[in-house]
Amino acid sequence: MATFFGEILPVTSRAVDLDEDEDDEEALPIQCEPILHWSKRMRAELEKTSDKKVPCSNFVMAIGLEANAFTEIYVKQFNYERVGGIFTSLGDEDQLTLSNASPTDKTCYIWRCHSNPSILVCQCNRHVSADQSFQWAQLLVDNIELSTAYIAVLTASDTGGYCSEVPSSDLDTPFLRALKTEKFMASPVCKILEQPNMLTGLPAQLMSFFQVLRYKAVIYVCFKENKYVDILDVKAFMSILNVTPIKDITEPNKNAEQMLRDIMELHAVNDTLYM
Amino acid sequence: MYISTSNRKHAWQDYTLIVPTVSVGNVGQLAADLVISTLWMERVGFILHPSLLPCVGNNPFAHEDATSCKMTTCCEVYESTSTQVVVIQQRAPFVKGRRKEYAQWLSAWIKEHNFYQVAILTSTFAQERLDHQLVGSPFRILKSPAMEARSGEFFKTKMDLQDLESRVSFPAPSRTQQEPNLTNPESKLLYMPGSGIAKMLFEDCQSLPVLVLMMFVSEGDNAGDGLAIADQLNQWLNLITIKKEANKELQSHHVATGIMKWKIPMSWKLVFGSKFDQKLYQ
Repeated sequence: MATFFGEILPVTSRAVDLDEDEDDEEALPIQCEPILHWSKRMRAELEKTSDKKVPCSNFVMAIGLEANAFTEIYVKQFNYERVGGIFTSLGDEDQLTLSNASPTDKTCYIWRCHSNPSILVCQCNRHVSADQSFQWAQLLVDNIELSTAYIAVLTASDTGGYCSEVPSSDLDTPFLRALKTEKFMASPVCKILEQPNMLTGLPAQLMSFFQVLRYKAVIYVCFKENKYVDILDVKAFMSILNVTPIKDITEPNKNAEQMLRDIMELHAVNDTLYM
Repeated sequence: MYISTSNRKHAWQDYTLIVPTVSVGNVGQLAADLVISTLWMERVGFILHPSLLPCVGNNPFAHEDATSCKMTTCCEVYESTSTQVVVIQQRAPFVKGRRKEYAQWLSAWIKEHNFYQVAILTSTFAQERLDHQLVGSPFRILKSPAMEARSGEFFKTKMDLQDLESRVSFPAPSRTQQEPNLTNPESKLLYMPGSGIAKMLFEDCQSLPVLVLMMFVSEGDNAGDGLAIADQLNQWLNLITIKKEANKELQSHHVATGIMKWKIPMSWKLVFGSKFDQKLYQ
């Protein structure tokens, strides 16, 4: 297809797939369904509950490198215990260390605060494809009692796809944009994501679930220019430390700068652009 | 699954349901956007289904200067009580290979709600037009038996809409192979490539009064096609009254006369991305 700007796209239509008209429903790529796994201790605790759901008052969901680095340094201030994970298929290039403990690993773990077990944090570094996101979100809402919780979703996105009246060369990156569900009464600390921009993939699926199920949720998206994780992009989230639901569960981190540098160094190994 | 935003029970037996299917140029969605924004329709429910790819954004029908957040999801149901219309707006394509599942679910949902009639808006590839289809109106219709009985000659005489020509098979057989089949209605096929789930829905809902309104289009800036199909829909359902321009002189200056009657939603801006720096070309 030739577009308005003259570039040639490999598809005949953005909306529909030409192959799909031939009803080849069997020719699907094989994917494993996402799996949720709780730790031994958690499973024992869940046995005692009636609905098998983990109680929760504050839930922070970090998706992607920047959001994860921010959560690691600024949000998970107190002692947190790893209580579970949601697993999806790994790609060929995805890294994992033996201990699965490095911030560069493609993991997705759920953490629980020691001092206040109703605070849960989920750090997802794994790529969850858009077609798996429904099952993923379903697993989350089926296993964690989020109906009364305050939920914050953090993620980052490229400015490449961001549309605005301001030319992209004049955008002051990185910047934050937010969306919230109807039940989330507080106003987000930054501007609302402007039309016609929208979010896709796992963050969008989670927010759809939270909106439809009438949960109190807000999403903060950092629009960034760098392909690799950068200190500024991580710090773009700083303003949300002062608002619901993050403000109630954190305190200032004295070692933040050092931790930031450490994480950057770890990731710099992958940045081979100027080697 | 369908989730209503309120606990009110829907009584839609006198309502017309408009279902745009995701199809080439997204013409159906564009027309639905116009209907929703012009009639100030109210969102009454969400559709959450594993076949739909996710997307969220702020309210696409908000005022330009609005700063509040009303999050919109990938598939929503809108209702207008004054005009008795329900629209299903789907804003994302399907997960590959899962269209059928959704089409089946949707036709069951439609049957369950007992609508007065159903309009499926869709489009099909313009490059697939046959020689004899090339001239004349780009619109075609399909009617279920119940719609046929109800409408009579209305679409043909009042709206000048033609039924979609069925084909013998695809790829096209030779003339000699065709001859014996031409008279046999059993061998005729509905050929509407690029129309998404329109055909599946139409075939599943044969027991209801269903009209498929389709248009031959190509991908591009399809806003004009969206307006055109919305106009056709309006001729049938009388959703809005078209304002006639009083000043004849003014009319000749506006190429797109009459466009003003539809309220174009805010989400239609910046179709081709951000504005660029004008200095680039100085």
